[in-house]
Amino acid sequence: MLIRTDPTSDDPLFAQVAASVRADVVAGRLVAGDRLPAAREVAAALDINLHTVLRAYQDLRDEGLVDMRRGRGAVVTDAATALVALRDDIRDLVRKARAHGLSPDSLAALVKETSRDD
Amino acid sequence: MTTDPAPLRPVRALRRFVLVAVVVPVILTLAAVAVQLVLLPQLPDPVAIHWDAAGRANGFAPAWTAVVLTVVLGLGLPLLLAATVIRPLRRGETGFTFRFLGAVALALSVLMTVLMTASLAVQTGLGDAGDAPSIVLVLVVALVVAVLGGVAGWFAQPRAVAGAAEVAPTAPLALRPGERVVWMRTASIARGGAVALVIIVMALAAAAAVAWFIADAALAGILTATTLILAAGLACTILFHVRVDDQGLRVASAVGVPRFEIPLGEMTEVACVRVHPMAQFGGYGIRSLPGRTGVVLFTGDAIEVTRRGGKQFVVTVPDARTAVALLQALREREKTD
Repeated sequence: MLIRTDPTSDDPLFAQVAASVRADVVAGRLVAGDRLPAAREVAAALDINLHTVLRAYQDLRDEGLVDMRRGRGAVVTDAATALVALRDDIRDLVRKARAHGLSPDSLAALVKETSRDD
Repeated sequence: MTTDPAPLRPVRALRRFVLVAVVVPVILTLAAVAVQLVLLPQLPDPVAIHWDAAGRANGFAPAWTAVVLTVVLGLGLPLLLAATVIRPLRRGETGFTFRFLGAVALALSVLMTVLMTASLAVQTGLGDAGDAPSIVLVLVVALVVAVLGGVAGWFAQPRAVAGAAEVAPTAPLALRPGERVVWMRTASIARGGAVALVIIVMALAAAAAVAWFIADAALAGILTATTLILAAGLACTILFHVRVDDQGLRVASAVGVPRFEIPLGEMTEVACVRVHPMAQFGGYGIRSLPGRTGVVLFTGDAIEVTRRGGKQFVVTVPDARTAVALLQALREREKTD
């Protein structure tokens, strides 16, 4: 599992950690049933606060991508399969947006707007 | 167009292994059985099958047991050895272990067929097997011939190529300046192996428990100690946490020890390689070869790090490519800093 955080980014750190986990699922690096590393370990490796990582894990739980149980840690749920199914569509979209000179941020904003309208 | 001999090598290694560990033992056993059947009418009944330290026959059995033993040991043992490694060999793996096992299989077959046949031959024409001459000379000759057979079996097989092949070279991961990245993954020993190991430990634990009730305390103590040592070893080698970050590579067993840490600055080269534990390391777990240490838990992609001084460290882990791409990116960034 690859987790990346950029302190210079405008996105809050917990959102970056959560986005990394989602990206891992889409890339197939994490599959349903895999256990996320202990939040404490992630926090130490990235030199960020433990609560930042826990917040990211909680967000992922709220959206159903991971299941958190006492003593078992955070485990990726079957929702991972749905994310993987979107992988090719996401790649197509990114490629088209790039061809039209649309920045990733603008694309993300557009996707957000469109989901709100639906 | 040039012909590349490399892809042919595994095929040749497999053919020669089958010749040495299966075909020759079959022929030897058939020949030995044929000779024994010819000798049978001239043998005492029962024949001597065991001798004491002074060279006097002290164990007897009907002559046919020798024939059966010849087949079971002279053919069964090499076939058993061959069966344990035939699958990786068929997958195209080659290596020291396979070549050695092939030679051992042949040596065992030679030892058993020669020993059984010669021990019958020295008894031909005897009225009573109790008069059988000492077996020492037969034993020495059989051992010498077996060693010669093993050496011949070794050289009949092609030299092993044990180097790990690099998987398509990985491009360093694109990093933004100041970005913090960590890659983590748990590597566990291949499921079949893990199940077998756990069953062995549980069986030992059960035996130890039974021994406390019905056997003497010494035996129970030994069994319990063995169980504990094996269980500890199991806990130390069955599961590893692998981590790559700006500190470098860290591999630690589930219980924390043993642990391997290689800082970025210590590395001179990082590559993603395909590892066949049996062929390249002679087995699974933590393996040490001259100049190369491996935490090899399954057949598959591995992180290979070359340290200053040329020593290599290898760990098999799922998604090793990403880990290698990250290590390469981190090393480049550290150099430019």
